[in-house]
Amino acid sequence: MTSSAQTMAVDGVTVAYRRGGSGGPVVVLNGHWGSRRWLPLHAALAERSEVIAPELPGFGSSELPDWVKGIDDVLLLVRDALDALGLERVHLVGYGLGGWIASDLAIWFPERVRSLSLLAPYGLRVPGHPLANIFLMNPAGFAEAYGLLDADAALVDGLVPGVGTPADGGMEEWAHRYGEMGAAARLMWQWRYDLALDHRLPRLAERGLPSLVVGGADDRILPAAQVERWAQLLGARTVEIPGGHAFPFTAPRQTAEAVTSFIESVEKVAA
Amino acid sequence: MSNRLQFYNFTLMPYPFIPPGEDLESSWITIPNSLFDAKVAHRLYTEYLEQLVASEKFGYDGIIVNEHHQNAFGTIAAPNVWGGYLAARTSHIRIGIIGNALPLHQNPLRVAEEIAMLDIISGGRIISGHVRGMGAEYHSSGMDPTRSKGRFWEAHDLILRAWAEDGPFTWQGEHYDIEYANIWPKPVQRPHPPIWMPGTGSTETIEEVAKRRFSYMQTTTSNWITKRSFALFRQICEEKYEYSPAPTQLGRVIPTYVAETDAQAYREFMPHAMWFFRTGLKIPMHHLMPPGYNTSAAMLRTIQGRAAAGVKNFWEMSYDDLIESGHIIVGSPQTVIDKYGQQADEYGLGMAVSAGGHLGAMPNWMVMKNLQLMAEEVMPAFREPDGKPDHLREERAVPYTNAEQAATIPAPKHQPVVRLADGRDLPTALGHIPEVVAGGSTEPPTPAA
Repeated sequence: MTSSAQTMAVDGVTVAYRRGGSGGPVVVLNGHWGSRRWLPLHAALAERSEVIAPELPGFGSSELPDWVKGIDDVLLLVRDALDALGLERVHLVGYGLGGWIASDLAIWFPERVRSLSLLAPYGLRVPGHPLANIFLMNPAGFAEAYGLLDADAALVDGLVPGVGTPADGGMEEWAHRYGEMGAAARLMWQWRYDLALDHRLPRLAERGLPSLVVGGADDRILPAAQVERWAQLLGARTVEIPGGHAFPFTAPRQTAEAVTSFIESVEKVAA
Repeated sequence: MSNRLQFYNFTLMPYPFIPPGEDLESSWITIPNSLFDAKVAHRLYTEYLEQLVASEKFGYDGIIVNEHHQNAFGTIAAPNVWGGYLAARTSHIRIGIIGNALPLHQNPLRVAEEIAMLDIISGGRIISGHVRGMGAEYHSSGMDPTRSKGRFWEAHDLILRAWAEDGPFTWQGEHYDIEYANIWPKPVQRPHPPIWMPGTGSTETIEEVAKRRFSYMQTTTSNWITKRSFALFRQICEEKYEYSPAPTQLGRVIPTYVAETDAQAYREFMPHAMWFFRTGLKIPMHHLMPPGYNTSAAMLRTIQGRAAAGVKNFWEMSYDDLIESGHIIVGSPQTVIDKYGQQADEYGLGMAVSAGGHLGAMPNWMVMKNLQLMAEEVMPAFREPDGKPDHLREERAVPYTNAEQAATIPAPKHQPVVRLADGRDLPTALGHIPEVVAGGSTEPPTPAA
């Protein structure tokens, strides 16, 4: 098991990833924060599976080339990264923006996806229940908005769910996060949702893709109505984890258990 | 003959009837517009516009409006509308739209058309400023900040080409795909109106403006940053592009208040300067800089530079800080003359913007006093002996009177005509004269066999 990043060249772009455990394999796509670490969630998943956690373009040590203009470009990059890693079919896990990307990957490259586990995924428009504005939030309100107030300090140390301020980790860290949020903005500033998912997600279910939607019990970033809508469109089961939008960080064990038991059920059926 | 320094009255048109900055997270984006009363704004706008109109008679070189959205700091959402009003109410003074926020507009040709219309109706008096729009405006408009810079330069290039070249031509860019770029009307100033680009001192902006030989307008910053920016501008012009910039290529927004004595000016200006910096400019970083508006490398340079130079947020500065750092000039006519003179000599300042006029929450009378004292007590020190603004010594792009126009502008190549049934072209100007139209039928002419 490893926590330091490896890098590889994919389509001429540096892609960083972390890899650990055996079984699976499970690919975890990051959301807009929490890059550059082997997270407790990764470690917990790696107890039962081989976990590969690439960093999306512009996050962590992965490059953001000019030609990545939208999610479709990221899909090709991720597919080619799977090729480079020799991963034919994977269980996909995605958090937030990474959940959106994971579901698009399942739509466009279904042959590469054994199952889909979405943790508070972005990408839907649910009238009256919009995603909070992750790009405009007072850093003073981060802890409350993301559910970090009661979190085990060791689990969330140094994690900043947005650009924040230079007081969090220094000026270079701040600029790095500004760049990461810019990478997220390139993919989802305009638009914050993809109406085509309303039409496309049910077709995944029709084709028999097993999926799971996991939400935070007190998520103030992604409203519960969005989690329900995802589950409805995918015909998926939902699991609620205690905590706010930060639940994959603050409740890594429970989150990993939900995902792992789902993956095991998928593998059992297949066997 | 040209003057040593040009004077511009630049009005932001704030709506100052809001709580103090200390009680606000921001005076931008999220400040509720329930605080805005259009009836109050009617009086405000009327006064602001009268102040700009009066600037012509006072002897200013130009009057300036700009574009901002959804904030209390500056409520001119559509500066070209004000440009039309000002063109109608003045006859000689230059009118600066500094500027249109190009990436916020879906079709850059709309901006090209509006500026061309203003240029024509004003007799060629428009200065066209091109800006990206404040970062905050990307939150307000939904436009994508990560594409802002690309859209800005492409829109700028498209607009200049549409003004300067005959159409139709096809534009196939990364951000705009227009099969027929063929604007009617084109501007009267050829190939295009003077272009100003504001900047805060970034090398990239200065480089681009110097390269294109436009005018660079330093936004509200300290003397130290202004001096450095101007030196860099001149250096790039001379070393990289091998020309000496004209003084009118270097402008600076330097809110200035002049009164009878230093002490009087200091007292009168204080609340208005402080409203401007403390409340009007209360714009926290998470509003000011949406992700992707700049690169992370540029942001790191900026923040490290600010830290090294000890730059504070606007709302953290005291009145004396602001005066000492040179963000504002306040004093007697002689004090103002001395400071402007020093900046002209040492920095190369050629255009003082916000030199007198409105700031913060100034009452109308105080603005008029500021304008009049500036015109009568300060401007003459920087003018040729005739005291005129430069534009009164220059030919207008279009003569002011019909008689001059008839005497000097050649007849258009085509006169409007009506083709009669017998194939004759009847000049419309003479179509009511029986002898000319005799025998003419307005049935469609028979096509040639």
